Amino acid sequence: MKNDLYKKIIEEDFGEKSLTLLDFIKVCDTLGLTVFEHKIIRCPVKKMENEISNNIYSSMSQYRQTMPDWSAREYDYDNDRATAYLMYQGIKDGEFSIEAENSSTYHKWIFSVVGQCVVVHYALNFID
Amino acid sequence: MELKNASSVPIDEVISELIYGEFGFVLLKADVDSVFDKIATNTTYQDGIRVSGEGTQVTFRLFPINYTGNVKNNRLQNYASARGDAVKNVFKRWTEAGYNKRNAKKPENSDDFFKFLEEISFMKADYLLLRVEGESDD
Repeated sequence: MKNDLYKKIIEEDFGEKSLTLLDFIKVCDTLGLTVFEHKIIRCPVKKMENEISNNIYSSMSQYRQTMPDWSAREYDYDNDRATAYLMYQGIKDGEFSIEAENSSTYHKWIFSVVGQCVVVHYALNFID
Repeated sequence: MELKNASSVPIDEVISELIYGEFGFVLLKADVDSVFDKIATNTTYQDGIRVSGEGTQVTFRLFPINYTGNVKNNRLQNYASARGDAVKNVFKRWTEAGYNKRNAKKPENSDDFFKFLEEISFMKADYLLLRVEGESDD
């Protein structure tokens, strides 16, 4: 079941504007949505099992704290700092994914607003 | 006892009850789509689920005991075994808390335990959240 109130707030507050992760967090926190994360860490060492865990967070702003600060943002390599937030088309529909990587890790988050919660499928891969 | 709805209970309240409550479990009713419905469809009751609040963390198992029938059916869960395992765990916590005065060996042999289940509205609940021992680190 999708969340009708979520769509309504997006339409009224943002119209046709493209949205960033910060906008998404703001809307989810306004609606008091809880976050359920299904996380998989793919182990780079052969013969070792992947680590899977299920976690709940009370809000999207709390969940954001678990993501690297530079994710979902542009990066200024000259000055070595994250800058503006990137825009994601699917936020309007409550379904979108974010990918991010640095020299040692590759991250992928798939966000879906379903009913009274945000379901996040998160994969963390270590790069050899 | 009046049970809370799964969709509206604040997560911090759940964490607090799991950590500081006498028995380390919480009973909830399923209503509209809640985070617990999502967990029940993506995990089994043997899986540990970590919940984080403001500065606290606790791990629990979610038993879809589904007494009102509002829990959505899914292929991962066997409600009969979830109920059986849930009762055994509640009986263990109840015994450890010192309420098993007649030293009943099994839940089905204890009238007092049955009264306790009635008092906590166990048979009106859809979800049992049971703290996994030794996993809280508040």
